[in-house]
Amino acid sequence: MRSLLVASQKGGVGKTTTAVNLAALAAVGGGRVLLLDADPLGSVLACFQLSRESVGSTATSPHSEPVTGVGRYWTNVIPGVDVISPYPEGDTGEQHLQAFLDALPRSVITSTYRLVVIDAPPMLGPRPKALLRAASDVIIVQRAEPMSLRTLPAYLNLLQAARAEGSVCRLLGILLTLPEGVMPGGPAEATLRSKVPGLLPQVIPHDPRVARAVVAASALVLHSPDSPAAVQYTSLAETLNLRMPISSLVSSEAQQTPKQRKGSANVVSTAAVTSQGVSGITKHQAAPTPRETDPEQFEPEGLNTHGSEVTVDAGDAASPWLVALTIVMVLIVAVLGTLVALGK
Amino acid sequence: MSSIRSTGNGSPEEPYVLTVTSHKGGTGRTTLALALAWLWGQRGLKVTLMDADPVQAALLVACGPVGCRWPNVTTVAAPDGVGTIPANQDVVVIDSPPATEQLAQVGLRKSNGVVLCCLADSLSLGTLPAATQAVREAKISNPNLDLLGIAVSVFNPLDLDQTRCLSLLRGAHGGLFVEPPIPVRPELRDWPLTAGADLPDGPGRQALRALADVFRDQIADAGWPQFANVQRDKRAFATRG
Repeated sequence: MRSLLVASQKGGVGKTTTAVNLAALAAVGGGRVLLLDADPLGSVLACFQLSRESVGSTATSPHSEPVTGVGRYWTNVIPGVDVISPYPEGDTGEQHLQAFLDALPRSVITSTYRLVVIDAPPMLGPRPKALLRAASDVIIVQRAEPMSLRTLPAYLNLLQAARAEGSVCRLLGILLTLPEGVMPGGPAEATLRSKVPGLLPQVIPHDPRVARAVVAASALVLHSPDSPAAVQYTSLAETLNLRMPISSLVSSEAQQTPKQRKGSANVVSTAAVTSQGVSGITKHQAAPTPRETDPEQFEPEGLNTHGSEVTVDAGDAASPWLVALTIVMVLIVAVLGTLVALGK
Repeated sequence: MSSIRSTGNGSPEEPYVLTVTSHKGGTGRTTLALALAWLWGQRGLKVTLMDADPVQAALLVACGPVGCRWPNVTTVAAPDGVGTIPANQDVVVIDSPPATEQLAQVGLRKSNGVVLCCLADSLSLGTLPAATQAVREAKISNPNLDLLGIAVSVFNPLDLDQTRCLSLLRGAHGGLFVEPPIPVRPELRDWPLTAGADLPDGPGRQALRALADVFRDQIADAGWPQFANVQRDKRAFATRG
């Protein structure tokens, strides 16, 4: 059973929307998909108007989930997708999530579902770290705006800490979403793509139909499959191989080129990367990283990158936003390069 | 809902401790906490900006290469949660993780007031009660905690979905909503690009200044003399028209 963690250090970037739509698309490919709402806020539950309260026998009444018996479980919330919240009614303590993750590998879930998509809480702390230890793959969702991008190193630090504690979670890439008013294919996006290795080919535009799908308790890709964001999610599901049965995934070892394997040996000391954000990255820049020049070296494991094209405009003269963000991105590359090397 | 509001009993020696929080991420809470700290510092109040979120985004914005240079503003990093409240300050503004988190509860129990941030969208409609519930829970251990109001952020008045949601939110939560909503503005979005930069000028700052005045009046009315002495900003009245 494969588990894909959809994570971010910042809320409001489109993480839950991404998790929901990737789960919906994976289910279309066949086999049952589990959507795990690990966020104590219950954003996935809110999307589908589910409540953890056990009242009556309506269609949205939860069962007890089969892993610990404590959380809540809804079947076929959207076609082929079941939803679990590990938290009981009225209690979102992190011990419930930990108990669920501990029991998961030996539970009936592993033989029932071919894929678990996990919606992480948008923060740093013990919950996201526990999820990084449990999941096989992770994508980090970021919005293309300064507050999100400047705090991305904080999540990369968390990933590094989880790795040091034995996590083998593969970072499949960073998914960029666009704020309202920013059009796809602009010059800022082109710069980000050239500077940040590991940026997934798809970029999710702001799409008002997302809100309408929520009102209809549905997923965008089912509710408005031709909308711009739905088209991007459909392509992303292909890139992440979500529709393929698990046997078709190539092992990480076989996919490594000799260059990448050499890169893994050059792991930079984690002490250099602090949680101070940009200032920490500045100190870290002195050490050479395996990633410092060629973004094309990054070949994420388990991804299908054939046929994924990003077309960008020639672009206008660089705006101040673009120039400043470029500087920030160059600094982030140093940190990200470390983690890409660790992920091999 | 009226049980959430209470009157304070402030003392001139104690700082007013204000938690800025939300029920979910992306609601503009860090921007509001930063703006309140900057605006009240400009008005001559001694402000401590305490960043109680493990991500430490507020300090990324407020602190330049040599720390925070905003007039009258000191910064404190509290990534593991709110610790000791500094003395000799007029106000402590806490940028807090979402109210449903245990870390936020620690701060709420030490606070005199709380502001909730919210978006005008359907997910907010569904999940806002979780935050008001968290405030109620904090009030059990801290009966003097005062919900100053709910602020709407990243608001686009041209978006029909948002204006409709805002009406529904106002209807559902009565007088708890404070005006004006903070507009979605490129200068606010780009504020974090230059570490230590002032609150950028523009319609965003005007709205934030109006909100800062609303909260200042409430805190003064609750009996905190350091807020009563702050000079009113006449421009704030003009923008409310």
